[in-house]
Amino acid sequence: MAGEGPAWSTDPGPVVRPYALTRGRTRPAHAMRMHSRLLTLPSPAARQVVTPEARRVVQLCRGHGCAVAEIAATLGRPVHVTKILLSDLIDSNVLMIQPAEDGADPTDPNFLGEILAGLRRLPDRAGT
Amino acid sequence: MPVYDDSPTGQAPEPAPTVDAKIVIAGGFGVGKTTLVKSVSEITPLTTEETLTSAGTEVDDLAGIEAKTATTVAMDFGRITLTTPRRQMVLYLYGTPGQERFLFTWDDLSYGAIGAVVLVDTRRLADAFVPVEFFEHRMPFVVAVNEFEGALYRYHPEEVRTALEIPPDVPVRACDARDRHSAAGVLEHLLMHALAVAEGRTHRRSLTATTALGART
Ligand SMILES: Nc1nc2c(ncn2[C@@H]2O[C@H](COP(=O)(O)OP(=O)(O)O)[C@@H](O)[C@H]2O)c(=O)[nH]1
Ligand SMILES: [Mg+2]
Repeated sequence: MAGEGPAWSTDPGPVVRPYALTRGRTRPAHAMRMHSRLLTLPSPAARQVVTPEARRVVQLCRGHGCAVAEIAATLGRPVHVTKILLSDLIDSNVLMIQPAEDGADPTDPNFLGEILAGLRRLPDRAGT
Repeated sequence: MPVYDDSPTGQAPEPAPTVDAKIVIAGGFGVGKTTLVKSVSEITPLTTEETLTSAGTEVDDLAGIEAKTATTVAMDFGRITLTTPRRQMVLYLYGTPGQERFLFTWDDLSYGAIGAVVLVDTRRLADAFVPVEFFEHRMPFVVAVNEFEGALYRYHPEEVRTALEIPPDVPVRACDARDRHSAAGVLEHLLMHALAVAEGRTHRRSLTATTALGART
């Protein structure tokens, strides 16, 4: 979580801020969902991002990546503003959207069975 | 989408076998959504904001946000990592307010979700109507009655079912959102129900049940 306090606030903040963050852009160029997973690419561009926000994103999306909603919450930004920021980073070859995973169909019994088994195996639930 | 080979290093990112799933937790203000997410999440629930105007229309465009009518809706966000023999799975929990004026965010929220939990506070039963109606036609859901000691009368889950006109095949059960076991039990219950729906053992939308009740027409 960001060092300067909680990532959430009941105060929506100054409304000019989103414009500054997104450099005037008002919509994301890449379609993404709240739960879309972003991955940091091993590109030089990813090592050269300058803004603190972009650096944080690069960090969050290393390895297994991070969902849009989680990035937004960590940055303390609205989801929509975050999507624009992420979209820019995709264009700059810093990030990519993880393609939809095979076997993640929410109506597939195997998939659901796997999640159910996983829930039952949670550390402090075993044996209950 | 950038191709891996675009990068001079020519390396693909670390393979991400992580598979995501999500569950929506909906209900009226103060019903215990944040509490439930907190009880089961491995991270402190985070809150994201989505922008909306007082008209309730989606702001897919930031232009116009300077208008005084713009406001934000807070959503809770939690995560549970599940290890299965085959792969790592991450279950995301999204807590969202159930008021009608926030409905527009639910399409994004519920897209690809395996199901929903509608949390109910018996002191404000009516708050559950909108979410019940929304999920009834979209995805498997269960109703969890969060028990507050302050309630004058402890409703039986079946009374809640009747009051909210919930179809017979939709599970309704009591829970304590503050208790990890109880909260995890609600998720487990949802998964069992979603599995039954997926396997055709019960109806997804329960049209026959709804018709039989005859109350929604
Ligand atoms: N007594 C009791 N209080 C609860 C329970 N669940 C939540 N609360 C309290 O009710 C208040 C509202 O809960 P919260 O999770 O913030 O509701 P939300 O608006 O749906 O996110 C908080 O003060 C909680 O501590 C419960 O099961 N029993
Ligand atoms: Mg809350």
